[in-house]
Amino acid sequence: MSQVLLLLLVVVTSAGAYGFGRRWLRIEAPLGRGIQRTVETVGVAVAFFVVNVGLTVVGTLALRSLGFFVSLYVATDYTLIVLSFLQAVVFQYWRYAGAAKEQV
Amino acid sequence: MNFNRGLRALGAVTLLAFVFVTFTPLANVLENRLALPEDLSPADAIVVLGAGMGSDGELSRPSLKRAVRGIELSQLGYSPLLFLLGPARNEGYPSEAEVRWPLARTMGMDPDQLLTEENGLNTREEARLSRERLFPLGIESVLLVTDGQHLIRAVELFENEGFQVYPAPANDYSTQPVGPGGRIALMKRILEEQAARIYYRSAGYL
Repeated sequence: MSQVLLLLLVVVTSAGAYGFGRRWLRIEAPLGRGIQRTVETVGVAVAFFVVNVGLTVVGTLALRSLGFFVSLYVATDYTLIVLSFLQAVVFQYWRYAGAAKEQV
Repeated sequence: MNFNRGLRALGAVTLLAFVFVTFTPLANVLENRLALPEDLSPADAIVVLGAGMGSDGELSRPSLKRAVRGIELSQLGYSPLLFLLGPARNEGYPSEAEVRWPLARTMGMDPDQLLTEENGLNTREEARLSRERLFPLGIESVLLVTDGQHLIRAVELFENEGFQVYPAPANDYSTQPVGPGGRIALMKRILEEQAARIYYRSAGYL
């Protein structure tokens, strides 16, 4: 039941944001384009996450070979997911800002 | 552009996986299939593996859960000896095993029932050190206390060291969560342990 409530909440706030965007912000671009770019950003975040985890594991094993002990669990910290997503958002904004400038 | 198409495909697969993990019982099913079931039996010793602690000397939640489970099993008469493991987080600070010791004393354990080991930094070292410490005492069968996912790897390591092992799970997470948050936490733990098994296998530890 709590899952259905969660989903319902997201549907309601998404519909509200859509109405607000159309009516008050006068956004004319199709919503599909925004969804497409969001999915793309998630893909970038996953790529960042994989590279971040890979480098953490390599770095940890390198430190261990030098006699310092660092737990491999550091690579699975939730913080790394958030940071990877932030990296992806910045990367995407930067990429599309560059593309928009070229069009001007 | 192919690059963008690839990113979108990766993103779509990730979002789909997220929905499956969060809103279906996928993690629960995997937990049921992968985790070792409890097999309690009287043994020569109860071995409680380390699970980390804060630099302030506080036991982490999994560490506390495992320690209490080990003490409980001992009080129930499964074994006269409780072997507590766990290293110090920083030099000059008490080790996890040392912090667990007074906890066990407070909960009614006699000092001659307790043994500590603070040099094992990972599961492999803990298995090796357990053999070095317990075999000379004639201890060959152990009730192994750690979380259900960790037990898959830990039991194999302890068996490789020559112990007869009885798994005694002590989970600090729900093994059958009903909400999205619990399912994500459980799936994270399952993936962590599967990755650890791959690492141990590729390194030749298993």
